[in-house]
Amino acid sequence: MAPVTYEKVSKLFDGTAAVKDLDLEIGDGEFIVLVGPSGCGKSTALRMLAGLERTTEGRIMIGDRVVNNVAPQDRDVAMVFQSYALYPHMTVYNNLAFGLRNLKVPKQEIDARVRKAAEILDMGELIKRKPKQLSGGQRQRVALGRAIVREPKAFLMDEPLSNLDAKLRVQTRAEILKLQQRLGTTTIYVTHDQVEAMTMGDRIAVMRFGLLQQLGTPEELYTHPRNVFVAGFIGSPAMNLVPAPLVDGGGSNLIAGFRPEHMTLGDGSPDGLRFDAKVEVVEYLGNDQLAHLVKGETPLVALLPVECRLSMGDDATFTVPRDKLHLFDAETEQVVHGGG
Amino acid sequence: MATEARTERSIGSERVREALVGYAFVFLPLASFLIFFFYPLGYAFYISYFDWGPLGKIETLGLENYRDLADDELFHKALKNTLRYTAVVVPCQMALGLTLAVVVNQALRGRTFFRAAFYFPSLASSAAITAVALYILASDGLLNALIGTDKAWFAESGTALESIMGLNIWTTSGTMMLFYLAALQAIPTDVYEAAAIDGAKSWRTFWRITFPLLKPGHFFVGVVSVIGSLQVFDQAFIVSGGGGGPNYSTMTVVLYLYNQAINDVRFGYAAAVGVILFALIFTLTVVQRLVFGRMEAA
Repeated sequence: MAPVTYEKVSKLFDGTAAVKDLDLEIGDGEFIVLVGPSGCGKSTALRMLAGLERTTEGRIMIGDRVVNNVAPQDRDVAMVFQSYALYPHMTVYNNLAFGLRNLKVPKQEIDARVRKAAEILDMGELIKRKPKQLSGGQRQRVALGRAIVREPKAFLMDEPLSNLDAKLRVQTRAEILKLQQRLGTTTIYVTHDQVEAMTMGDRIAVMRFGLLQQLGTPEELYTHPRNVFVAGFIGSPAMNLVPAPLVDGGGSNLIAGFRPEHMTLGDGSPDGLRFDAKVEVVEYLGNDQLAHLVKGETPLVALLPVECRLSMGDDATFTVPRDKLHLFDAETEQVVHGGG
Repeated sequence: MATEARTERSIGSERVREALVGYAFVFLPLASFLIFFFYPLGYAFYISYFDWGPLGKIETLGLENYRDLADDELFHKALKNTLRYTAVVVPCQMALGLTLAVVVNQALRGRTFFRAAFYFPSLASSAAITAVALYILASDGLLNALIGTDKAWFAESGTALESIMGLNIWTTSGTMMLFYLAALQAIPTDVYEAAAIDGAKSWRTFWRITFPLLKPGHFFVGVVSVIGSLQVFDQAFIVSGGGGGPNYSTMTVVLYLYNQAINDVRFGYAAAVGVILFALIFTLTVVQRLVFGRMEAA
């Protein structure tokens, strides 16, 4: 286990910046998630830490050691790839043991560590199989096993759940969290899925166009997004972001943001923002319903209790408490007034 | 019930129609394959049972040609030379091809040039290369001038076949490189990245990751190389002037077949040599398939 630090790290590919001036301090044993859309630089940032890409500028430290010029094999990190990258010609046992053999760990210890990892991940019966004989979920577990068996300073995970179906993804998400808490290993986890980021990370680093947009706990990001991008990216369904005058929220140089779950049907609190909108579609979710609305030509989404009777084509009044309103500068897209 | 039966019938006729369309697409290549490959093969089997001259069948011999081959010392010599040639050339071709492929697969400056340069000998005519080699390996040739000897490499029985081996290993290395390069590029990059993070240094990565993952490439290159080596002819023909000399040291099975058919006009006997060579190639290919199949399963 060790802390990890990015200091003013940049990466250029043929003059195009994939990561720009990234500053990030990851605490010992912390689970941090790098999240953002495709091409935001999150995977590049992770690959630079792994040593699979060279940094163009800045320095990366694992513990007290600057690792910019250290080969991947000497960084003492373990990585779980999106494709799992298992060795197809080796059995599960040999996939797990390969890294330890490279480190010249005694045979008996290799055996003990491989069997322990297999037990932790409940894959004892798979040990003699080859990757092609395993399901997607089982391969994913082998990839995790290969990482934990090494007992590295940090786990690097590059979208490890992307190839799993929705049900297995939720299950494996919990397994990874339990595993990380049990082992206490510093973990840097890359995903484009904000739900994964919110549910897994101690802290989340939101990236876009190679720039770190905001770093904080899931709650901080949710309640105090620093800019329009973070506000729209974090949270599902996404925050409504509309010109402020449309909902009487402020001047024309502002963007008003409010979350679908903070909208109520009817007049609501007297000091709240009140506006009319037309119901376009209602999605029934069981406990709640998701109402897709339109005000003028601007689409809005409201998450309402199922008891609210709404039908397609209804004109209705909605209220948003003022303390839940976020205001952003329309030009800089930075927050000028945060929600509660 | 009647409707179900009708539906089954219509599905059946649809399948037949689809199959016929498929056969129509492959008809021409299949026909040329049958005419130019299977027919001569069958015909070779057929005439090997006869004493067959330029005007056709002379006498029915049954297995006589095969029995004669069993006692034919020159054929034994040709077979021995061919097998020795194959045993040396195949591993060397594979090793050199793999080495070159690994080199030109690196992110080297000018690798396109090296790929073209290494492949170039494979493009040149083997007859032309052999003709040039005759000068280079002559007693007053370039090689002797470089190493300070006066050996006539192609004219001494102790070195003639070995010289052809060397020549062929060099000329075919580009083709083998190309096959291996395709196989190397089929290995996913992330497996190498995983190995690097797993602490494997380059030598260990090569032997533990690259080499085993090239198994389909090894099989293909091995089969192509074995077949090519067992059929060695042109270099031996040019070097020895067709006689397989000196002292039959460059007599190969195909050269012997050629001499029997063209010089001695014994088509039946030559066909029997061809059948034996076919059986040898077929057996070795099946053995290779079994060995690689077993390695795959292991």
